[in-house]
Amino acid sequence: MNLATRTVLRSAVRNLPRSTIGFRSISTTAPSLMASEVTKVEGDKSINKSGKFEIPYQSWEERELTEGFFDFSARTLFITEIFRGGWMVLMQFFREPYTIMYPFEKGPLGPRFRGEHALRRYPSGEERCITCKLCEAICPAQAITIEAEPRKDGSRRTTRYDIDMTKCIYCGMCQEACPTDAIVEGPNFEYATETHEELLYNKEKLLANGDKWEAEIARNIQADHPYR
Amino acid sequence: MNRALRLITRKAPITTRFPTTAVLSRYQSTDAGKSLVTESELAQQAPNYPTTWSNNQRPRDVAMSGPRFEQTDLAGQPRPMAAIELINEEPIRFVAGRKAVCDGGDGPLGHPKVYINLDKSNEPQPCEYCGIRFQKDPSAHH
Repeated sequence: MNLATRTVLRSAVRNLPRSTIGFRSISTTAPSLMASEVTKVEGDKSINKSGKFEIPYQSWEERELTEGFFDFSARTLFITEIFRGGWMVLMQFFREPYTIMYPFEKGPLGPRFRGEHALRRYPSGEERCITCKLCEAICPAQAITIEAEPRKDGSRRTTRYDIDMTKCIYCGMCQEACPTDAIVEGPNFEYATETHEELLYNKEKLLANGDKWEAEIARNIQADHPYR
Repeated sequence: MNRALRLITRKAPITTRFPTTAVLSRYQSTDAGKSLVTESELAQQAPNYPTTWSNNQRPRDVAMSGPRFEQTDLAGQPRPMAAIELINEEPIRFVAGRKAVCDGGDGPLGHPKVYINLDKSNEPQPCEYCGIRFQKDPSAHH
């Protein structure tokens, strides 16, 4: 590439918007390697005498002779990277920390979070489960056991509703199968126990769970119902 | 992200759709310590019901005895309220007409909508899902 080519390239750069020039003056890419400028001069200089396209080439010596102070420092001292790193440190210094005081402060959970199981009730206090056994049938780990019997007032309810929490794989199929939203996987994930036996939940434990978490579970179902 | 989600949670309006504290306290057992649970309460099947409510249900003192329950703190075991008593306290809904409609209320928080035939008797007919009893209002003209 001769001197005339470089002059044409310079004029092309000068015709670009001012902000682009300011940005490019400290970039590590030589202007002659930028695609837009090559297309601009394609008519005369990047096509050689035999009519074939030729990538504009600038040797190291030529570039060191022509590049400015900012180009040199950006290429040699990584000066832009140093400033960007400094800016990042400054931003992180002034922003709110990501850490939370975990046992006292919980992170956010989505409404579809699948945690500990619970059996829900209606606002009247009646159990929602009507013993349709769909959850027992669909459970891929066969963790649910249900026995049913008419209650003394003639209502159809379960006498036994057991979940083996050590078999459960927390797939959420039970709450998807439930027609009355009786069995749900609530937002609680902190129920570690000391023994295996404590994780074999019976109906009383599940109902107590539901009573304890009803406000959160109802809010989650309300939030998610347009998508179900 | 973290901060944004927390702000959304705070800004969500509290509506009457969700069970209020008064409603919840109807069936939520209190967080009373074991010293407040007396022996007579422990002998009951549920805090609000003395006996069993199904034929083959085993009483608490029979079911929770033996070597498996050695050293078990029975006062610390979950004791939810009995639904049979809670739904019994619910008043009967009198309906002007021959059929009642029940969907459990609160839209997506309810149950599948059912129509209940009130033709045959003047006894209350319970909803198969939520147990609320409906009865034909004898004074209503139709």
